[in-house]
Amino acid sequence: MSALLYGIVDADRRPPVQRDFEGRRLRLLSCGSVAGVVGEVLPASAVDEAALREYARVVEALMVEGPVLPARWGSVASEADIALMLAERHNELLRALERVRGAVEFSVRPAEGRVRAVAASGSAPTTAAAGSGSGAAGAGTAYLQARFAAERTERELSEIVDAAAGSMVRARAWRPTRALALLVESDRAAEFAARIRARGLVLTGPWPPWSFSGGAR
Amino acid sequence: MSDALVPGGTQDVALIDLLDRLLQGGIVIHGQITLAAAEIDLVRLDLRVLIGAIDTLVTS
Repeated sequence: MSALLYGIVDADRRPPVQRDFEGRRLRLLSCGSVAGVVGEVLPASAVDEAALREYARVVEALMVEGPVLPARWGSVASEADIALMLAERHNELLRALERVRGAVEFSVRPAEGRVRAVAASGSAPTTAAAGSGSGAAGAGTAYLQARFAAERTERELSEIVDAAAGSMVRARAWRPTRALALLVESDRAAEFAARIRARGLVLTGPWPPWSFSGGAR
Repeated sequence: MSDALVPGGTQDVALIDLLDRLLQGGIVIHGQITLAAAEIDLVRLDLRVLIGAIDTLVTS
């Protein structure tokens, strides 16, 4: 029987109260000290923005009850294959759970005007070489300028976060959406959010640790 | 989790941030778990297009 995997949790937590897309209680598939939280598979025809938000909401609710490693959207497999995966990657998953235990994820980005300011200053050294930006050389230069600007934005954001609340940050990761993801101690999350907002940055969260769950494999 | 900590309001965040998390983040189970359907691949494609558009906006 196929199941939709929502995330990985401690095996000894209480059974989840959240429900799947069919309105049924989510189930725990346990293996040693870890468990997969699974529910019914959503029909492909029913996949829309509301479904994605509902999936994210359920993972958030799981986070409130204890550490969770979110599963990437669309993780569908037979329950036997999920159990096999839990067995094969048991120790790796356990270590990943420990990394996120007692922590939540925030996303930080500059306010819109500031992004442009940073991007402009980042590209300044090579602006003359870029010319009009037309043609293959222009496109390549523009690409490098964009990368340079993104790296500069990341560096600047990191410096601001370090100055404002560095001691609360456990880990960080740069997102393709040009935001800095931060793994922050849960018990200092409210203080962290206040300090970051006071610096004029745009903050979202707390999220489940989507960016700190071990990555692709 | 602290009482002061309310989950981030997934219902309120921009779709681009949500897609970034759901389609680019999280545990991936190689080989044994596959995306559910072609429609989800389209969502992935949309995400790349959106990110491309944001890159263009930011750098232009």
